[in-house]
Amino acid sequence: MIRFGKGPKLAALGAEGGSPDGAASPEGEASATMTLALTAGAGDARAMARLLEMVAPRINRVVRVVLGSGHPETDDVTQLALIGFTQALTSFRGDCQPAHYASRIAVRTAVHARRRFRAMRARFDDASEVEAIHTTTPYDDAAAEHRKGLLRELLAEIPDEQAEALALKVALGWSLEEIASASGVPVNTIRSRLRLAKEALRHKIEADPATRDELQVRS
Amino acid sequence: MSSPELHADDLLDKEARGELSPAERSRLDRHVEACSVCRFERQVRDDFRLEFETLGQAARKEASHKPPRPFGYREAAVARLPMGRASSRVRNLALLAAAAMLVAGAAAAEWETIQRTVFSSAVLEQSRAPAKAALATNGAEARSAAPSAPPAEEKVDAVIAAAPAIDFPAPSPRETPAPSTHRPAPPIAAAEPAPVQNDEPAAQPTVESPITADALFAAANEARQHGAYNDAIRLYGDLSQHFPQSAEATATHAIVGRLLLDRGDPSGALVQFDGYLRSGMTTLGEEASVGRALALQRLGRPAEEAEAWTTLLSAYPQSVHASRARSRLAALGNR
Repeated sequence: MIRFGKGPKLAALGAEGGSPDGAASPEGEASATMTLALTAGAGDARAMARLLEMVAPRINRVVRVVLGSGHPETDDVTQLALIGFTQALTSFRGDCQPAHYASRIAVRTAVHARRRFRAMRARFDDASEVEAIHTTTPYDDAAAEHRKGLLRELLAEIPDEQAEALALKVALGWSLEEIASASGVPVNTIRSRLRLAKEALRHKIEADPATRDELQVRS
Repeated sequence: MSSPELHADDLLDKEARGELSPAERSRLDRHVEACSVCRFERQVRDDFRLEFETLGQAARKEASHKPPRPFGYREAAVARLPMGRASSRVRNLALLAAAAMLVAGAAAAEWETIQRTVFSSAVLEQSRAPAKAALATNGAEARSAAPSAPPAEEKVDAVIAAAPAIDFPAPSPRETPAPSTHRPAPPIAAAEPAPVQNDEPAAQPTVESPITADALFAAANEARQHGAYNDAIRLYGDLSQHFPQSAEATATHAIVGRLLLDRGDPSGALVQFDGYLRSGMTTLGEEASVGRALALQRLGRPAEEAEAWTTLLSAYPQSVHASRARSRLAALGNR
């Protein structure tokens, strides 16, 4: 089985599903990406083009993972995340890998979009049907879809910092250290955010009969 | 519910990296037994990992099969932009976003989205502001680590040339079936449920284009993704029948097995999982092994089920399904 960690395949992906690209790739490669990002941030259009070529597939996948593959707003949110990335790059100081930076922006944009969509759904009943149209991957059986749906719902309900930490850890498989480094905060802060997020998750699991049964939760 | 306040974040991270020692594994297992949140996290992490990998594979495939865009589409897009003094910068940003999406394997619909979103005046205005800010703050202390001025042309060439490849990693060796052990899997038609309902029509390969394993696989996947499961099973069956030696056909057995299992046909599912496992392919081996054990459970064949879980544990000791396997083995009295 390919582990959700530092396997060669996922490591090649860079930040998601593996370590930051700096850790998984040769040092020179990480340094070249960093230089490219700083050059792009300084206003060079060609460097920006190259950088966007590199991060766009990743941003697209992160958005899809947070929103759900068939979410109707996936394309729009990907666009917003790309634009957000180009804007944020002007204040990028190279404190973390560009791929991590892009992924965090994508997670944040997608979580906000999910929140908006949830508010809209509360106002218009027919929107709930749209959300139900999720495509499935070969092994996404009903239980897996349900689990992912539950987590995605939670992301829209908890504070931003907690949602971001939870999404990076659970949906993208980052370690505590990687999240802390990309967020520029101590590991213990991330632990604390995750603890609060997981407390909310526990309430959500307890309130959901299907998940409770599946996990054989004793009440 | 008993839920320890401290969660096993570090151990779960280590497990994900495959770095757990036996003692740590036993600690994690004990914790997960008692903590439904960590149990949930373990499962959902794997769900997302699978989705993320699948999305990556799809993007790679789409990118590698995408025909070149007709010449002039960028020019047409640029022509739609407002012209003015700041427009070259804006045009650059728009083109960059467009280029990025093309690399991501964007479909025509996504290109429309790019036009709609990126080229909308509000977004262009948003893009313009930081661009101006970037130019204004070149060399400022806040960006001391960055190049202090737009780099010289030849320097940028060197930076771009040094940048690593775009993140479409080559498939890992484990995705390639082992030729020495490959044996044709049983045809899917044998396990296909007889009654075919009127599902929504699935995308079929066009008459003009030659029917390939790849096209059939894509059509079947599309049908499945749209919920037309019977059509999907039929198309996977066609693929298996017409291209029995293709890697797609082999993978199909595992997919169809899961579809049949979810649709209440454990016998049919078992035939498919066995077919996949006999093929020698390993990419979906863990999932096929789990599916096989579940099918045997639903068929009420406890001895074989126990054997299947034991095989799974021995082949994939770090599987996310390990705790489920152990729990079933305990229930079956085989622990």
